[in-house]
Amino acid sequence: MRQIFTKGWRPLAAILLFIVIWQVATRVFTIEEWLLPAPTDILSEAQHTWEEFLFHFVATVKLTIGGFIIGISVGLAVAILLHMLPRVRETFYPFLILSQNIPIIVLAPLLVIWFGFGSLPKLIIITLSCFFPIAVSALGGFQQTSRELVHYMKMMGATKRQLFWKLEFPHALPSIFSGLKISATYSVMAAVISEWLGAQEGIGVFMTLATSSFRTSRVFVAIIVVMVLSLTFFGLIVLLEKLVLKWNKKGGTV
Amino acid sequence: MLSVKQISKHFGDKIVLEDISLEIAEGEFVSLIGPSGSGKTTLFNLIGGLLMPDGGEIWKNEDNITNTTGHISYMPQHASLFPWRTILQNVLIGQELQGRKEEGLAKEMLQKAGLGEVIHSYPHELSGGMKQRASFIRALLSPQSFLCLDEPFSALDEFTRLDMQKWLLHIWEDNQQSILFITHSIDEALFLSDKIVVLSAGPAKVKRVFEVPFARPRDEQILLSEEFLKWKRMVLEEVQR
Repeated sequence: MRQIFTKGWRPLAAILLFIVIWQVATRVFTIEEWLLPAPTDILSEAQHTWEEFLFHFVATVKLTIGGFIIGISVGLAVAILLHMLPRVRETFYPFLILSQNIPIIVLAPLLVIWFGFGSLPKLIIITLSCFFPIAVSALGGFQQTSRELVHYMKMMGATKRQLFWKLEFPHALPSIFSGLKISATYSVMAAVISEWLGAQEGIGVFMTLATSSFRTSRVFVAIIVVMVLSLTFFGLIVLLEKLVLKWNKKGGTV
Repeated sequence: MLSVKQISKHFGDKIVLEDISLEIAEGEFVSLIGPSGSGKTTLFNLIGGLLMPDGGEIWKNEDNITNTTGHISYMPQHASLFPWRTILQNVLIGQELQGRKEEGLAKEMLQKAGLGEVIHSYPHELSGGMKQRASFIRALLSPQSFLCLDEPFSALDEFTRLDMQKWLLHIWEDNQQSILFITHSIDEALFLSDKIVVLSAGPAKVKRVFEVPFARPRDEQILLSEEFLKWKRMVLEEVQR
């Protein structure tokens, strides 16, 4: 705990300073609230709307977690498949990269046309942005398994399945966790974006409504909540990583 | 008994092994010595079943084990312990692969090997010598009765190496499993083994087989005896010839 404090005071001080400058600037230059609200405006807006906002917040959290779980499952499945079947990897690896070159902003309305306004197109969008970091990092982790350990396992007569579950998978866990961290932050963004296009509830809906009515303070409330949500997901993954990778010197001191 | 019968192997145009025959009897300690690049590791991979020989066969008792894996236990040059497993979990991996675990026996062996304090530690917390001990215990605990050791002490410093050699003899004399041991060091080969097989380089052939006459259990005193030096000279001449 003390370590967090001694390490964390610098960024904390920087954030505080930033907020103070922001507050002072809006007052000194008398900037209109609909252009750029002062931090205090945002705070009072948050107090006002939090009951209404909670409903949207819960919807987004549910969507994010659902999409994230599907995304990492698909990502891991793809990585394992491509790792086990080198021919398939050579054939489909370019598709994996291409899947990330489709602008989501363009794809999202198409998905709505194809699958309607239900949760399916939204989950597809989150999955699409989540699975890639996991798939790439897991695949990298599998491929980088220490040659020495692989040789040992083969000499000892390990089957392909044993080689994977006893060696390659645990060996790749640190890489998989770096992928998870990226995906966790992506999943929140993707959930909000997916809600922009036809949804009844969610932070994305709240945002579009606020933007179109020039209630900029509300937009900022939403932005801050999205940031905090991303950080929380990230933090949870880091916590899980420390629990799972106790053996890893870099992972923690436990 | 493990018999290597007239094995030959080439990679591309390069003939690595030519007509190699070896026999390791039950409970025998055989060292394989030869210049680097003489294909010792290739021979190990053939015995381990990872490679198919161009000619010849490998038999274990009544079974032809040519190009089939899982019949030998192996200790590599570097400890190759799994960093996410504790020492106890590490030494059990060989048994895990074959299906049955004897945790009690493993604990007892680790205790005897002087690793009783660290059974729940991770490999990165151990010194090089201790890791090699754990690696050897892992090889001993594996259900296969035949051990292949690939220069296990070459990465250790001189003092640790002598300690480890004495320790290995001590442990092995209790267990009496068959061992095939690759080494660069003539001292090591003479000190440890019953039989020394000298290989020539490019392509590797069996040059000569020495029966080591020293009685067991052996003491480090013999390292300085006249007899030992005489044998060392003989083996050295054979290697360099």
